[in-house]
Amino acid sequence: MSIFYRIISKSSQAFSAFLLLCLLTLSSNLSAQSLYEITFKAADVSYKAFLVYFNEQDAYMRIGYTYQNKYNVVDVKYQSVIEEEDGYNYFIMVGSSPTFITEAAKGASYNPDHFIWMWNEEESHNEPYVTDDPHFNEENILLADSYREITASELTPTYLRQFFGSGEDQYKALLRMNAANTSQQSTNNNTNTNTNSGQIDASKSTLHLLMAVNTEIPDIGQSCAVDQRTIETEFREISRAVGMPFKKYIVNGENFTKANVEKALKEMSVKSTDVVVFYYSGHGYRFSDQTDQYPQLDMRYSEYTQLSEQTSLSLSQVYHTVVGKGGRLNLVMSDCCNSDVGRNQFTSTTFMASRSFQGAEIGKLKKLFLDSSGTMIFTGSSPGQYAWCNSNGGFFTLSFLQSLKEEIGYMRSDVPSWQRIIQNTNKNTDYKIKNCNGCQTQTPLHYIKISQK
Amino acid sequence: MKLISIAIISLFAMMTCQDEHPIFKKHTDIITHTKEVILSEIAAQPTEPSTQDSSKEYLHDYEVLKIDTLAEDLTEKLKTAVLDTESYVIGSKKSCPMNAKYALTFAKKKKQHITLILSGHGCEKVVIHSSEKDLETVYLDLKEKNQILTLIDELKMP
Repeated sequence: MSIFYRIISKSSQAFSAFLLLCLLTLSSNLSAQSLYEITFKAADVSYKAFLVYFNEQDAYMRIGYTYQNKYNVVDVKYQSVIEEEDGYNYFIMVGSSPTFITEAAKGASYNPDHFIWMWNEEESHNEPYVTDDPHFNEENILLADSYREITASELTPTYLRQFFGSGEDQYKALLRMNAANTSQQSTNNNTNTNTNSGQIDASKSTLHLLMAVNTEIPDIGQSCAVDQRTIETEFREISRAVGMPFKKYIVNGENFTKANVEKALKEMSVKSTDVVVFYYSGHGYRFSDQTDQYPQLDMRYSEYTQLSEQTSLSLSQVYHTVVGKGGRLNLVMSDCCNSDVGRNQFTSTTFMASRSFQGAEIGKLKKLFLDSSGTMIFTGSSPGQYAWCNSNGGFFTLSFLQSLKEEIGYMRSDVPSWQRIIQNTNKNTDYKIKNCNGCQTQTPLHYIKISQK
Repeated sequence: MKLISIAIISLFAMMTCQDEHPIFKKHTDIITHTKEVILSEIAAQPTEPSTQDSSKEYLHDYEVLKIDTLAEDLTEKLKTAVLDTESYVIGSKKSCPMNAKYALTFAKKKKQHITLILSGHGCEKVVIHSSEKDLETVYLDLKEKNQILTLIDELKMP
């Protein structure tokens, strides 16, 4: 039996994979970038690493260590992947492009470290394994000493100077994050007062979130339920952060029917300053003779229910209904397949004929939710394609949330834009698909017409 | 990146090696020791037990439309394909609705069986039912190019 297996077997049953899951899904709250500290020891040298994690493709570490009485800081880029095999989950961060931030001693070099977390339903280990061996030979893999999330309050100049130069943009951004946190605490979370940057009075602009989530369907219901939780948490936090009243409408469980979605949309009272978000997670498909690019939402929570006009809801029609409500900003999203169901459309009447947040710069959120108006329809897959999910939720949903968080983070200097959120969602989805054994191409599809003040 | 992750997984998989099949657990013998494999063509969707027609045959609530007895060489190939974990997408699923087409039943004894309800091309999925208490009903995705459906399609080709 391997040394690693023994280590894991001996570990306490009271381990916590919480931090790791936060890192994987970024779902604990709307933290735009996740910050972690890892310490480890190798060959009598102690290393302290500061990890800035945006998404699987974009993360970096500043690693500080003293060698031959000289303090060094190295920047290492990271890409990561999550895998599941034989009941074990693996999260692997592979380092590359090491660069000395401090002046490097003559001839000095640094082999990038790679980090591996592993866990299953019964056991886990909070700390990752670490190695600088690109071949991952067992004898060169060590268990890190500690791994923890860093809060904004810890981002003091003294702490940050272990990893950054005082002139660096990242250093300044992290200090801003710390200052915003201090200010937020001292004013008793008053960031949600009506000090928005535009003309919209946040308190008079409601954020309506309508979620249609197929939590009951046996094959993907569990994943859809995860999507529901993360989406609700994020939009609730967004509304709180910018000071908008929040109103949610959930169609799930055994209430997951087309009629209930129609009813919720019909009864939703929307003002011209409001934001409406429609979110769907469940099965999707397209008819063989369908010309509309966007999918049909499969409104059946039981596999015994026959596919019919009463169970089929067009995302495009939802979009037109939402837009017809006259809200300022309309976001219509679905995480579902868009593949041919092997039958033609039903021919009958048309649908609805009657018809604070930590780590996010509040100013950026306001730009997206208060200073923006227009419409967006965004679905997880293009015609003929599947949308994929796993126990962490839908790849598209996870990617959208990652992209949204990146956009509002302190570490990003650009003016936030919905267009870039779409681009990054596409990129993140593609990355997840490429790292999934057996998954096929999934390209999200969108139409956007949003302007910003 | 992908290669590295596979290398690491292989490394840890060796460490955590278990004798059980990741899907069929200790019950692979039900498949390997079956002499006759029954292939059924079934309705696309199940029928509620309360509305089933007593004159018709149902398999896990799917109406059986046609039954085929398979030749021995195909039986052996199907056993291999069903036990091959490369036929399945492990850990991820696609969000398309199941559209059942075939059922494959492996029965070692009369009361000991495993049945695969297979959704065809367009949404390749499988639901695995069994007589064994420790082998709960499992919902899995099949890879787009999987030997199970390929072998059945070859058999069904005119």
